[in-house]
Amino acid sequence: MPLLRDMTLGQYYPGNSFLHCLDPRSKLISIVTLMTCLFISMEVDVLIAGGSLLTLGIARSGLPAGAIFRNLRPFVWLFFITFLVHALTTPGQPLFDFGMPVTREGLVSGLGYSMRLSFLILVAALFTLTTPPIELTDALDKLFSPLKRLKVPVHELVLMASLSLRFLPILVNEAGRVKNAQLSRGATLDGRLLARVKAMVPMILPLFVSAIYRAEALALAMEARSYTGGKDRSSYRELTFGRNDFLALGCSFLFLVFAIISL
Amino acid sequence: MTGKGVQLTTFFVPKLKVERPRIPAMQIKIENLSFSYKSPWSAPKEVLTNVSLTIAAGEMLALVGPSGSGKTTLMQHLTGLLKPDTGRICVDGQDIWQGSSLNTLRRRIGLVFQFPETQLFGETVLEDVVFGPRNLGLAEGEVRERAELAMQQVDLDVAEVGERSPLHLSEGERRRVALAGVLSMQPECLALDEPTAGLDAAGTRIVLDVLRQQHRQGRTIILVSHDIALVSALLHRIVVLNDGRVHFDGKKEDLFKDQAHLAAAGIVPPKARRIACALKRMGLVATEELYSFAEIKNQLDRHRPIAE
Repeated sequence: MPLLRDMTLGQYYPGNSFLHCLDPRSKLISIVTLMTCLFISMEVDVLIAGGSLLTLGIARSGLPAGAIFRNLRPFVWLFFITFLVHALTTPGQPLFDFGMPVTREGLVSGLGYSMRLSFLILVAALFTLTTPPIELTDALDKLFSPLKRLKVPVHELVLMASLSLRFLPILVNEAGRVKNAQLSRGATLDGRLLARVKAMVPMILPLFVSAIYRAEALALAMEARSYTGGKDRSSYRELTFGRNDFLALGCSFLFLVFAIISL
Repeated sequence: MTGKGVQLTTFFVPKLKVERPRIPAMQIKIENLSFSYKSPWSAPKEVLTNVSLTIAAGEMLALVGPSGSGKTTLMQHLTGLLKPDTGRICVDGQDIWQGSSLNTLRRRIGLVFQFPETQLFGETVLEDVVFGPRNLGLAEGEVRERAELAMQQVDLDVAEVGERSPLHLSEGERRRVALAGVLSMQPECLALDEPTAGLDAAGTRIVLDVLRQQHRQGRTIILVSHDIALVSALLHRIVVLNDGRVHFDGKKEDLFKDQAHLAAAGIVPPKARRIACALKRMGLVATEELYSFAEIKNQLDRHRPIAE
């Protein structure tokens, strides 16, 4: 499963960098702002500014570059198709002709969209790589806590989300093991599409079974320690805003303003 | 059969239908194999370093070593589930990564992974066991015959559990279903990763009986385990893997003689042998080469017949 192997999304890479030490709330707000800016504005300068911020973030994150850029690999096709569609369908000054005219504007917007998409993936990867799931949970919990007044079970939803993130790498590992086991029993992965789909059953079914068992065991373990969510629950590490957090928020705010002005 | 199950196992080996002993010879030769896992996180870490090993046809040997020593990784190399960075693996003189298909090889070498019960997917036990033989492209009659034989070998009653869902069986029974799933392919060589981990005494005995039986029929058996007591009671040749290197390869007697070697490889001799050593010092037994309490008892009885 090459797709799963390349995804480091959802995994945490321990470290002490500027990004690791930020309050998860400011990190979350910053990346959401950054992503929004990349989407609302089509301008080249916004793309460049976003790219520079991202580069800065990657450089200061202390992560091996491979760990971040690997996440792009499963999406290469998406970038390619996006680029192609834009290149072929945007009206404008034709450059060359493959049955359909490829326009200058098309090339530019295709490139822009592909870069935008890859920036989004990199930003998300940078976030999850530098934020342990528990901090992500805390951040979401705190940020959405006003919704609790409307009887939205924020804490429970957040817990569910973070647990699924947490189990992703385990599931990937297990998928590898089951695949090896079935290969050893003479299963084949090649052949026509239908044959390949059928061959997936022995790989996927055991995964479901073990995921359900695991979930059950987890629920039991939580219950055994009398886990209850909700408003009376305190936490061992309180989130605190520091100087760097205001800096990060300030930067993203400036970027947002910049993106809106350039519209 | 429920209830009598445990007792039955004691007699169950001789009761088995004898399978045609028609297993061709298969020699496995590992030459200077090195391998490292590539990770996006860090520099590649070498898991196996310059491993060389020859396994003769019909041999039964143990691969032991502490957790993380590379046992499982080495096992996965046997059928080309992993590709060595350097070095090669030859089966019958032919490099497995050159020429013949890995799929054919995987039919000849049956791998049983750790906790194989997690790989079951069939709606019924029988459905799962026939998966392997069906992939071999055999006729339905032969498939069925092989599946039933394999289930019989692991002491599962086809009539009783054949149509049940594997998920409704006990953990020990599921392990045996998984084992039957590999046995039914009738491979020439079996490599098992911790096949008895987490099993109770009765379950362990059934699994070990199956291994002995398969060995008698001429199959090569590679038993991967960290349980030195278990393998030394069962086997003669022991290969010790530590930190990805072969630390020892030879007869168990030689392994336990050399204390310094043992310590370096992180191995504690089995209890039975330690007791035998003490008994020998006291002059109660003739040899310290005893690997189970049954053997010790035998020796003691022979040396000092207890007067009634």
